[in-house]
Amino acid sequence: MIPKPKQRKKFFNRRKFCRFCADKDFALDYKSPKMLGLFITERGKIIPQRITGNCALHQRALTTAVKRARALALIPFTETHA
Amino acid sequence: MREYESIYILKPDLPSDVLQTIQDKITEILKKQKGHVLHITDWGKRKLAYRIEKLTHGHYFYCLFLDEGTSISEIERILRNDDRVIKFLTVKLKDKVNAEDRLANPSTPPLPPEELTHSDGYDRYDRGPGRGRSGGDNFPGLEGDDGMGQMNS
Repeated sequence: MIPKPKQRKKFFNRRKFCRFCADKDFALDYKSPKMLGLFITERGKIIPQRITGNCALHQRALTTAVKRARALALIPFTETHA
Repeated sequence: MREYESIYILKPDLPSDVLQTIQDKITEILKKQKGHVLHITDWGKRKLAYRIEKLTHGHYFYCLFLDEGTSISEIERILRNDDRVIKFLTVKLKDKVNAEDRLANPSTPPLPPEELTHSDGYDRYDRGPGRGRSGGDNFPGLEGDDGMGQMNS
């Protein structure tokens, strides 16, 4: 296979950061589905901290928040069972 | 004293006196055990994220109270045995709250949260084959690479 000329580097590194640490007003609350919606996928899965850049502490807190919100039917467990 | 919050979901379309009786029951239990209700807020009828008992909507109530922890089991027992209640959740917020101070400084009840809709930036991480991992631009709210950068460079 002929190597493509001038192939640009596909990815670049930008430092990810934990949004909960950076912004103290950005409160983590299981009662606000809008905020949790930023950290779950379309299918309702929790997005890994690898992607979001959350720190371990806040990712753990987020996990419990998402699970509580699911229990209260504020956010879905999955999309398919609706 | 500890501070707790309870959210319970009732069936929609219940007469308002039933809603009141359930509120009164909770208040009564707490009074007996020397707890205090800070506020009970009606969040109104909301769409459930998934069907519960074949219902698509529920009537949410939010209750904030102080208690020693002795009446939680009683409140939950009542909610569990009442078939008009479809879901409930109690969460401990704070340990060691000074009841007098807390009652002197009442907080404003939180507004009912907005419902989650599909346009709210659900991410597209697991959309299916061919998408997802390979596309670093699939995360509208989250800038940066997808964590796989070093492998391809």
